[in-house]
Amino acid sequence: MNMGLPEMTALERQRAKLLEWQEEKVAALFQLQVHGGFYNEGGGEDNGVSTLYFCHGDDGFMGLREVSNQCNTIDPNARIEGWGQFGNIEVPCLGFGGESISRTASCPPAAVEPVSCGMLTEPSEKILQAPVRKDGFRKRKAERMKSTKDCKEEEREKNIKMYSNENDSKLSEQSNCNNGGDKKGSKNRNSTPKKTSESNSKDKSIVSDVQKTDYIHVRARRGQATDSHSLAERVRREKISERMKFLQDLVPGCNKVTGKAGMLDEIINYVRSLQRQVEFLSMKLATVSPRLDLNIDDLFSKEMIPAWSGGFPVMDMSAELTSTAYFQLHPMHQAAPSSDLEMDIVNPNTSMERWSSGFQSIYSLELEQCNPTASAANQSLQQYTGLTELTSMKMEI
Amino acid sequence: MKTPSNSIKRRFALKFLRTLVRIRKSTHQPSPSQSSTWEIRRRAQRIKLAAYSSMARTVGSKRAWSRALTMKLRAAMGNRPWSMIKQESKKMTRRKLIAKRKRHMEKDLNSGVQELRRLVPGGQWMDPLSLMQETAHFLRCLETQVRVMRSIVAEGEGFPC
Repeated sequence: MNMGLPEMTALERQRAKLLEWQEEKVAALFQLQVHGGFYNEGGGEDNGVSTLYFCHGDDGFMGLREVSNQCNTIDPNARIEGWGQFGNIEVPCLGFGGESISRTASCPPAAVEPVSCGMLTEPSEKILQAPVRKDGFRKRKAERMKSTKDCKEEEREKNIKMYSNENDSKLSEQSNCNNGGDKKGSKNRNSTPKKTSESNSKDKSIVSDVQKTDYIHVRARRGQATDSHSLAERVRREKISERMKFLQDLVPGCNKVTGKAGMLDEIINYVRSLQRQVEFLSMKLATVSPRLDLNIDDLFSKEMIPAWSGGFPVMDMSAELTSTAYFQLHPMHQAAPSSDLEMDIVNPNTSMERWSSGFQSIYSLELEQCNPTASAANQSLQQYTGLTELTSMKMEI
Repeated sequence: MKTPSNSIKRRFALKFLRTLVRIRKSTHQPSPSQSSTWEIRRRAQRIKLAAYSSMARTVGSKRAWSRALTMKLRAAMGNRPWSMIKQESKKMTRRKLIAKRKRHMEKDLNSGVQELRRLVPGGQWMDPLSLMQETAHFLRCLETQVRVMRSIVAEGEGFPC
C-alpha cells in the first residue's frame, strides 16, 4: 500500500489520520517528558537535526509514526516532495519513541537542502526543557493572548519576514546545530488547534503558515544558553527589534540613527511633533473656518473624496511637508517652545507667521528640488502668503 | 497598505468635516467677524477634540489606542475621570490592572519606553511589544490626520473673502 504511492494519496492518508492524532496528542502532550536521549539518537545518525515540523491548523498534525512510515517506505525523491507537501507540520516531539524520531531525523536533512521552497522550518524551532512545563503553560497562554490580538496584516508581514530570515540563516546552520547545543532536551511549546484561536485549515506555503503561527519555535544557537528563559527572552528581543525596524520605516529620517534608545527618541519626537502639528492646524482651522462657506464645505466633501483617492498635488506636497517640517521646525521649536503651546494673546499670530514663514522656506526648497510639483507649490505658497496677510489684517482689526 | 490607509483617510475626512460643520454652526451665532482670541482658542480646542474623536471613531474599537482615546475623550467631556480604568477593568480586575501597570513601569526604567507610553493613548497598560505595534498604527493615523487637516486648511485659504 505504501510502496510507489504518489504523494497525493499519501497526503490524503495523512490527512485522514490527523483528527485522530489531534485527540491523542492533547493527552500525550502533557504526559510525556523529553529526555536527552531524544537528541542523541538523532545525532548519531547524521547531522542530528531533529526534524520537527510546524503544523498549523486543525488538520495540521502529523503523527511522527506516520511520518516515519512515510520515510521508510517512499523513496527519497518522493520523500522530498512528500515532505514538501506537508508544509510546516508541527509535531509534538515529546518522546514518541526514540526509533521513530531517529528515523525522522535521518530522512529529511539530506533531502531538505535540495528543497527550495523552504517549507521545512525545522531548524528554526525552539525546543525548551520539558521540566519547565509550568512556564511553558504560562507562555503558551501569553502567546495565545498576544496572538489573538495580532491579527493585522502588518503583523503577518513582519512574521513572514522574520520567518524567512530565520529560515535562510538557519538552513545554513543546519549542519552545525546539532545535538551539542541541545543536549538538555526539549520541551515543545505546542498549541493544540483547539486552543489556538487563529488556527485555520492547513496550508502549505510559508506565508499562510506564518499567518497562523501562534508559537515560534526557536532553536538555541550554538554556544548560547539553552535555558528556556533565555530563549524566550531572545525571541522577545527579536520581536522588539523587528518592530523597531518597522517603526523605523514609518518615521522619516531614522535610517541614520541606530540603536534602540536613539530610535525611541526619534519616534517620540516624531509623535510629539505630529501632535503639535495637529494642534496648530486646529488653531488655523479655527481662524479660517468662519470664513468658509457652508455650501462650499459640503461641496468639498463631495468633490474631494474622489480626488483623495487619486491624491491631488496639495496632499502630496503636504505629505512631503510633514516630513521636512518635522526636521526644519525642530530648531524653531527649540527656540520658542512655549509659543505654540501656550497660545497667548500675542503669540498665536506671531507663531503662525513663524510657521508660515517656515513653510514658505520649505516650499522654496521644495520648488528647487522637485519640478513637477512646482505648480502646486506655487499655489500653496500663494495660499500661505495669503494667510500671513490675513492674520496681520486680523491683528489690525 | 495603500487601500486601508486611503479608506481611513476618507472616513476620517468625512467625519471630521461633518464635525467641523457642526462646530461652525454652533459658534456661528455670535458675530463671526469679531472673534476674540479666547474664542479662537476655545474653538481650536474643540476642533482638536473633534479631530481626535473622529479619528478614534474611524478606527473603531479595533485598536487598543483608539479605545483608550475614546475613553479619555469621554472623560474630557465631563465623565468621571477614572472611567479609563473602568473600561480596562472589564477585561481584568482592577487590582490586576494596576499591578500590570506597575510591572510595566518597573520594567521600563532602562529603556526609554516611558515617554512613549505617555504619548500613545492607553500606553500605560500595554506590554512593550504591543506598545510598538500600537505606536506604529497610531503614527500612521496621526499622519493621515495631519494631512487631511492641512488639505482642508489649504482649500479654505484658496477662497479669500
